Amino acid sequence: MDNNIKIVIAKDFSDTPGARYKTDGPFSGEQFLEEILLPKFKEAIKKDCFVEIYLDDVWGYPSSFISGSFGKLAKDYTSEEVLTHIKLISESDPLLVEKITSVIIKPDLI
Amino acid sequence: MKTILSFIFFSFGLAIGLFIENLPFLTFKKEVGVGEIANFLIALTIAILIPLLLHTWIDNKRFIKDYLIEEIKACLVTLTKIKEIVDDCYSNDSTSDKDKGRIVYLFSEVDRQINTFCEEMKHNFKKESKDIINIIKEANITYWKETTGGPLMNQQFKINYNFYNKHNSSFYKNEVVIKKCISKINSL
Repeated sequence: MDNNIKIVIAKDFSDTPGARYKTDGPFSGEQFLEEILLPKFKEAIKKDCFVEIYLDDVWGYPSSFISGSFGKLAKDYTSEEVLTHIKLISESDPLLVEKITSVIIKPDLI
Repeated sequence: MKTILSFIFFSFGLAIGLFIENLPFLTFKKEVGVGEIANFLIALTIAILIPLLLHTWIDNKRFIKDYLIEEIKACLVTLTKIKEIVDDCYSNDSTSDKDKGRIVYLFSEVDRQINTFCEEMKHNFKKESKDIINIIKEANITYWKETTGGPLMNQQFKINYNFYNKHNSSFYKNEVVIKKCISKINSL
């Protein structure tokens, strides 16, 4: 899987991710999913490559944001498919990667 | 100077020689073999070295455990800061964007503290660390989901009785887990 697609959340979206839905406020999980994550994810499936998601340099991730973006994606495409085409990267917080993975694996738990 | 030093060493050697020769309670029988003397010396060395090494090892282990406990207590301090913000927001009937941002930021701070703790734990107690690490991570993820997974980040949301109540129960559950882990580390 060469030529991976990159998303740097702090740069490409926001360093203060917000709530779950667009109606809840700015920089929501839903907005991130629709404007950035989903198009890149579809492209990754098409090209059979990874979307490398860089999570660092953000103030923090509310669980509602993660659930509204990654969780929703896993519900729509299955956890296996999401984990096959998404690579979460954080040098400063490996536990964050585990947190997001746990939401992808069990998206219905929130 | 050299002559004085040589004289001192010579006198010291002479004194030791005389002392051993005239020692009243230590006499060497001619039938004692070299093997027996070596045996005696080895036993003496072991008798001195083993307690010394054991003591140092126990001291080091205690030091590492205390360090790990300090690390995990630091997480508890950060988690308590989250609780204090929630308490203040509820009692003042006001939840600003700054308060919400600070709560989310403190969760990433706890993450970093847990990461450091886990690394130290793996490094020092490879076998025993797995259970403790899993329990702490799981409890923290649950607390994060229960606190920031609901309406907290909604722009119009103010911390109300329902949220406050649920948050408290979630916080105390996490606190109990961490305290249990502290006692587990102590008994390692």
